[in-house]
Amino acid sequence: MSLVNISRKVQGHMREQSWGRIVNIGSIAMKQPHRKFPLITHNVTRAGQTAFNRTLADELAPHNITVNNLATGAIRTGKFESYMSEFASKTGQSYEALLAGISADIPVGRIGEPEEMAAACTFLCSTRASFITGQTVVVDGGEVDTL
Amino acid sequence: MVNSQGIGRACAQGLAENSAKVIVVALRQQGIDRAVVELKGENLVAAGVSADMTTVEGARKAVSFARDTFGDPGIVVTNVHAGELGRWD
Repeated sequence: MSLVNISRKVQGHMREQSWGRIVNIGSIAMKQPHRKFPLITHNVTRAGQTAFNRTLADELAPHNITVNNLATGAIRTGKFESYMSEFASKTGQSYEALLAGISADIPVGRIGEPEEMAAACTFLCSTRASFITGQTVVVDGGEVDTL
Repeated sequence: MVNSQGIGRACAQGLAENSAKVIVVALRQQGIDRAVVELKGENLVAAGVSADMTTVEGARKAVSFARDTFGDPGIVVTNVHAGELGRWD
């Protein structure tokens, strides 16, 4: 509910300014459910987030406010490392072997860095991204299979 | 308005480097303070507030802080945790 709460609180101020940018960061489950990892809450909530994104984008577009999702792939954050460490432990494999397998499934052949997410976020928040709204932009090194 | 670690922290950096005045919002004060000190140390404009964004009151607190500090927010970046590892069963 966090993004619903914050969107409600800021949209009035953005409407008064006739300008705004809302970027909601989620995961690649917005495009394709996680199957390799038991992330059921991600699979369920991110689908809802995608629908919310599109609906809010339509509502706010006439006010020059864009609303977009960023779908996060395998990005080297503390949370990612703790997830993978726990998963490796539970499945009896080494952390290094798990990460090597994940990297092999990513067309660019590596885990991403937080700065690579930030670059996309910064662009979507800029004046240059004025004609992009209601979208889910995937930052995953090509991992997701969907068109 | 962004959060204090990982991707949120990197977004705060990217936005601040592009002249945004950044409000860092998270639950833990320690992470907020660290992020704000680091950003200010690079002569970027930042402030922070602790708020529970899963609640309406937390969202109200964050937006009020942003308005009082830098004016009406024009950009919001949410980076919400979606749960731990777990299957349906």
